[in-house]
Parts: sequence; C-alpha cells; structure tokens
Amino acid sequence: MPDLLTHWAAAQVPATTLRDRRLQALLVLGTFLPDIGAKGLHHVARAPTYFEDPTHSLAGLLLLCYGACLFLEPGLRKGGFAALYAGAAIHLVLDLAKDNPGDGGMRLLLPFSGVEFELGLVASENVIYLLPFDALVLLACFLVDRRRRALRG
Amino acid sequence: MSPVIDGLFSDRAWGLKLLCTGVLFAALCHVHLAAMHRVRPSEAAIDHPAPSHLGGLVRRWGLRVTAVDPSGFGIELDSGPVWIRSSGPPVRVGDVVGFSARLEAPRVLRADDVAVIEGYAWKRSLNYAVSVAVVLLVLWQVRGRFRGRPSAGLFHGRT
Repeated sequence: MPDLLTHWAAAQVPATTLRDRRLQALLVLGTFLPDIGAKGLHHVARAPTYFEDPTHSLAGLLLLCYGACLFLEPGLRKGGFAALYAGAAIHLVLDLAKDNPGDGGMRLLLPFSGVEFELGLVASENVIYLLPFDALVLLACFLVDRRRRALRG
Repeated sequence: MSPVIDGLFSDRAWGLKLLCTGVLFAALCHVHLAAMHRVRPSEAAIDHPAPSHLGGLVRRWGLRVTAVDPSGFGIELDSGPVWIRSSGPPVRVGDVVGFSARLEAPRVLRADDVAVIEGYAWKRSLNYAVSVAVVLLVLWQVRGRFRGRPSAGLFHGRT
C-alpha cells in the first residue's frame, strides 16, 4: 500500500487544474477514501480482512463516494461526487502498480467478478522511497496554483 | 439532467438514501466475504482442513520467519505454527515475509510466491505515520473551504 503522501501527490496534479478550490479538496480527500475505508474497517471496526476488498473496488467506491457526497451542501453534491470518485480512481491506478504477493491484487470488479488486478511494478513497502519525490511534486503544484491565482487576481 | 440523477443528489429522503448506501456497502462486503470463505481456507481450516480446503490459496503479509530448513520455513499464525514448503528465495530466521501458498496438509502450505520484505518494521511504521500526518494536514488545510457547509448540506431544506 503506498503511503497517503504518494496518493496526495498523485491526486494534487489533476486537482491543481480545477478552478473550484472545494472540488480540488474533494478530489484529494477522495484519493484518501479507499485507505480510510479499509483501515477504518480493519483497525476501528475490527471487521474481517476480506471487508477491505470492496473499499478498493469500483462499485464499493461508488457507494462510499456517494455516501460521502450526501454530507455536502446540495449544490455541491454532483460535482463533489465526481471529484471524490475521480480521486478514488486515481488511488486505484496507483495501487495497481504494487507487487504484494501476501495481499494479492485489487478486486476492482466486485461483486460481479473476483478477478484480481495487479501490475507488480514496485514492491509494496518500497513506495516509501518516493517520499522526497512526492514532496517535490506537491511543492510544484502549490507554486503553480498560487501563481495562477495571483495572475487571476 | 435526468430527474433520477437530480433526485439522487437532492435533499429528498436524505436519511433513507444514506441508509440504503450503507446497507448496499455492507451487503457488498458480506457477499464478498461469503465468496472468499468458499474458496480460501480460514485459519481454522488450515488447522483442520476438509478435503475441499486442500489446494486452497492462503496469503499473508508481514510475518516473521521463526524456523528454517532446506524444505522451507516456519511462521506463526494466530492459530499456531505453520510450515511453508518453499524452493526460494532463501530466508533466514527473523526475516519478514509475504507469501502466496496452497494448503497441502494440516498446518503445511506449499509456496507459489514468497517475498522477503527488507526493512518491513521501519517502512510500515513510517508509512502509517506519514499517512496519518497527511490526513490531518490536508483536513487542516482545507477546513476553511467547508466551514459550516457540511451541516448546511445535512440540514438544508429540513425543519
């Protein structure tokens, strides 16, 4: 599982292209949702390990993002849902890269198929070496965002 | 926009929509759990496997090797010690491993894939520490963009 700084950096790049700062925030929060759901079920609710799989599936995230968007003001819900789901999808793309024989791949197509997806490009725990790179990406995004807002006045 | 889509995102039957979402997610979890229990041996089944459990896939991550010999290595599960027959990579007592293996006999697995995880303790600890710090930092950073608004969404249009 990549750390959330890596997920944040991956989501911040497309988020920087959005004008609405609330949607920017929701896209970033959406990218945290799969792991918050999985770790919440595991560590807080003490749910069976297999309950974590739906938090990393397309249908499960549809439900989580829809549930989360209901807590937004009505005018922001549709856009908020799209931003949350886009962020969650970015999370899944990043997780696809990992190689984790002890966990297996993600079951993206639950409940229709239990087929696992994993590209096996990087050892799961070694994503931690990306932290300095993540920090640089985030710094670049914030500088671009600040400059754009300054130009806009 | 379709009235159905509009309805999904409106305040109408807000509580019912939230409840249905929760019920559907719980159903998804339970359907998946039942499906996995049909094809994957549980820890109890590793101890006392039924014939249908033999050959079933067992996966674990982040377990410390407690014993080694030329045929494989031993690990400790919650239910007790398990022996993994493996032809590689070489592991030493104290190594942390992840593996994918098939149940061969009570408390004996045959490995399909084994990974030795270098620096598991510090990498996993740092991962969790960074992740918790990031969530707190982002929530603090965006707090101004939503101040009061979630409650407006919750209670808007209701008396």
